[in-house]
Amino acid sequence: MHGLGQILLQSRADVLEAWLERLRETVPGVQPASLQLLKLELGTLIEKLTGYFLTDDDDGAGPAFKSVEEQAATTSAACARDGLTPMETATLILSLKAIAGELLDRETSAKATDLYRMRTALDAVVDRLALVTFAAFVETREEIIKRQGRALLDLATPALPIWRHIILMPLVGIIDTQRARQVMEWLLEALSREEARIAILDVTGVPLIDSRVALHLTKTVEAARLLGSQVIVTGISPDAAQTLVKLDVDLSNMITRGSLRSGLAEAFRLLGQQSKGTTETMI
Amino acid sequence: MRVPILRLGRVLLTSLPADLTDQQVMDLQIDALALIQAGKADGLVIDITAADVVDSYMARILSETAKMVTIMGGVAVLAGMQPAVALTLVEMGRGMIDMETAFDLEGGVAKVGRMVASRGGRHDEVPTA
Repeated sequence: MHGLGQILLQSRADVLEAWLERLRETVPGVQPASLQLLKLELGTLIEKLTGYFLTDDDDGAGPAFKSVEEQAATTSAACARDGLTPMETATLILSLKAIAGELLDRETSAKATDLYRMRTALDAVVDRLALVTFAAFVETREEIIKRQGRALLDLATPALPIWRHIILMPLVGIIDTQRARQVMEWLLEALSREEARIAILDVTGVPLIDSRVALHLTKTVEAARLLGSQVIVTGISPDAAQTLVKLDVDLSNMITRGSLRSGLAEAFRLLGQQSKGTTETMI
Repeated sequence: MRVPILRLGRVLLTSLPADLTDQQVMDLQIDALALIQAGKADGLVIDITAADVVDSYMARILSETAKMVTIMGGVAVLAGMQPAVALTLVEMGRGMIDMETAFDLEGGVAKVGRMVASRGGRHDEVPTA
């Protein structure tokens, strides 16, 4: 396919311009910054493609085609990061067919059979690239999702010593099994480190409190009790209270308060109660 | 070797070693109950700071000891559990340790004091009106 390579080499700039035009059509809301980036990526892709056709590496397994595939994957990753949909990305790659088709139509010097062969070869390559692109796109998306999941898990759950013997742990975000376990671990560590007698668990920032979250909370309360500490759960919204009662969740062995303020008052009351009993009375 | 039980005023103190055998826990239970029966103490504080592992058998024996002490008119408190142990026990199921707990030995003794006070005072004293 040396001829095709030659044709591409001559009209590289035109192809790139036409391609970007297509991109603007398929994705009307594309940002100027990401357009610049994509222009760079697509330019490299055309270059690699030209290189592949020029080397006559027809079986599609040689190093030249490998580098084309790699570039397609990089381009697709860039698309995924810039928020293009899979549909838009695939359309973008496949639009190369039409662009190159027009290019070949204008090409009059070559024989008709040669043109036909060129076009079939190009179609095959672009189809293959579309598949590679799609795989790379999905991979990048998964990577992004995984990273976001990790970030969410690492979302700081600080245990703040707000008073002598009292620590506060504000929870923000959705509590799933993994996160609940982590919260429990951190809370117990903090209780033991700060020698705290009371932990206030503020759930104002937890959007949804259902029976599963309640179960996690009860477990945490139970674990803290084993350390000899008490847990006050604060910030239970009216919505959460309604849900928990309707779901018949038993929270009777848990100290719960509506606001952090009343939770703190309860903590001080409990501390006062505890300090009444002293070691001396028994010796 | 039996785990020693110390007496501090009206409280029995004992600290479980890391490599505690089942037989040692049973002996401890018998010794503690005997001391309470002899009227030498009102409360028992079992300190498990050294224990890295508490299995279900040990948890049951400890809970049972606490209940037995209560039946005999005393109070029992478990003190100094490691966070990792608490985590494991909670994962194993609810209510594995069915007894009062405290942060450390001092907290345990204080808790015994509070419980004895709320019960109506020490057994070796005439209740004041």
